[in-house]
Amino acid sequence: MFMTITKIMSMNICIVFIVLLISSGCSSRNETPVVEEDSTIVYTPKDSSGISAKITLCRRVSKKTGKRIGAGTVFNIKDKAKVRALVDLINVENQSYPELIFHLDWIGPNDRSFFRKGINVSPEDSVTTIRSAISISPEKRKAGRYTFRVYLFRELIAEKNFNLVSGLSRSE
Amino acid sequence: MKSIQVKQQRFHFIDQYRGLVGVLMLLGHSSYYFNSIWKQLDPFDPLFAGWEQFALRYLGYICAPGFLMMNGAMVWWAYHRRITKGTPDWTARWHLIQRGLFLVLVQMIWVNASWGGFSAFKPWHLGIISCIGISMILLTLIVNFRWQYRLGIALTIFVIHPFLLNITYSPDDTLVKVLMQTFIDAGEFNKYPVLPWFALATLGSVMATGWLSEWQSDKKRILFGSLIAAAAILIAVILRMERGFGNINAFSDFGSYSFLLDQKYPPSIFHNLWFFGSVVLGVGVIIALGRIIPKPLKILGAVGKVPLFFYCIHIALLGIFSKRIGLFYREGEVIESLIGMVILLAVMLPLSKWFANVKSKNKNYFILMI
Repeated sequence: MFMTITKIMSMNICIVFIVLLISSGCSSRNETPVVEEDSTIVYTPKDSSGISAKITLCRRVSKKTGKRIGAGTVFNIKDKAKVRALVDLINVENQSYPELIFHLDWIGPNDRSFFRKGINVSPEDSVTTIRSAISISPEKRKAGRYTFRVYLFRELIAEKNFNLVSGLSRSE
Repeated sequence: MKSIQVKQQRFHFIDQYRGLVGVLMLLGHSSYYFNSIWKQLDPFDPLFAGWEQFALRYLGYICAPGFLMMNGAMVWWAYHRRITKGTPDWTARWHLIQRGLFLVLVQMIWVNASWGGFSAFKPWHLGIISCIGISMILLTLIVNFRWQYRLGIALTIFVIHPFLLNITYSPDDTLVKVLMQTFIDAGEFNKYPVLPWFALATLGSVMATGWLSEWQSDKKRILFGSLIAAAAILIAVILRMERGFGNINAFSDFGSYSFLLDQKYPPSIFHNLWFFGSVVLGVGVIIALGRIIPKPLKILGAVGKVPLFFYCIHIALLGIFSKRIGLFYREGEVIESLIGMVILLAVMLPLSKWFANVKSKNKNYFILMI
């Protein structure tokens, strides 16, 4: 029995080691993230000319001026209210890919993804900001810690945590 | 139609490769039950926060192609062995058809319910086991074709399938949805539509002509297998880099996550060729390792001799203890998935050896079917 377990363990270690060797070259992102001043957690590209992202969460965006109103990381749950995510892309215009595949993912307090949006961007489109929004009405959301994630070509490039709170206190 | 004389023997490398795929499948299923990434991971559209999770998921991608190809090889072998022994043609085929139907029943009656720990009976859903079963049935219709014709059929299906995916249908139309998702498209009814996977099983039967009949030495199996694998992988890479026909999902750079993660449900041509080459290469590696370290490979062989039993029991155990009772269900990450795999292997290996022994001494129809 002991020898069988030892053989199983040796086999597992060999498999894992081979996979480690192969997989270490696949990721285009640095493993250790950088936390920006605005609390965006950024997984910077290994290549300095790669795309990076900055996330702003806010209550609304002014249609006249484009100003992001109520930006922050704490939001009140209330009827007809939304949290909007604006993802500012850095270095997107210098890319040679035919198209850029983004996924925006909203994750709830139970760690489950409850809304995901795929966005394909052509570098020629001159798009530098991509967006998504969720309703934070009481019927749809509970108080707790949420996460918004941005993926590029299926790799995580940035994320931001935020809190939804109940009650009458003003959001930031 | 060509009649091929085959000798009575067991090809250990087939059992061992099936065993390797079984162990990787066990790892993938352990991850499914213990890894918290599955609270967010959509298998139809996977995203990854780190390379460890990507590697863990990607290791499981070899399983379906591996099992389909080995099944195709065994259908070919079993048919020709019976013919060599003097069994009438359709008697030999009928045995295989029965086994295919049995697999469909196992999917509907046991496997579907076992995922949830038997908390509910869920017959109206197909999956990988039924896909293998239906592929077996279809393969019996062409099993005695020359390998060149079987190869042509498989490649023709690969080419035609992307066009069939353009057929639009309403998911609310149950009959159409069932037909489409049984054979062509992937969805909630079935993630493994038969056509592309049957094509892989057929390629397994083509390789069997070499592995089990024409190539009489391990050296030839390794050499020719490696050449075929290299050619398939090279063609797959060229198709992928062209970013045109044969691809479904876009990618960034060669070797990136997105490069490797072309669509699996249902598979693209790139996915099929890439994993066909990977399976053939893997078999060659197993043959080579069998000449250097034969004893450790016996562990794999123990799993590979009873793959259906291994599949059905380990999922049932995971479904009952993790999902239904709630033991560590999706609470861990990569390390916990590995630990789960080791524990399950420690349970399943002796069970598999025991069942292989029971099966070898039993003449019960259903025991022999498992």
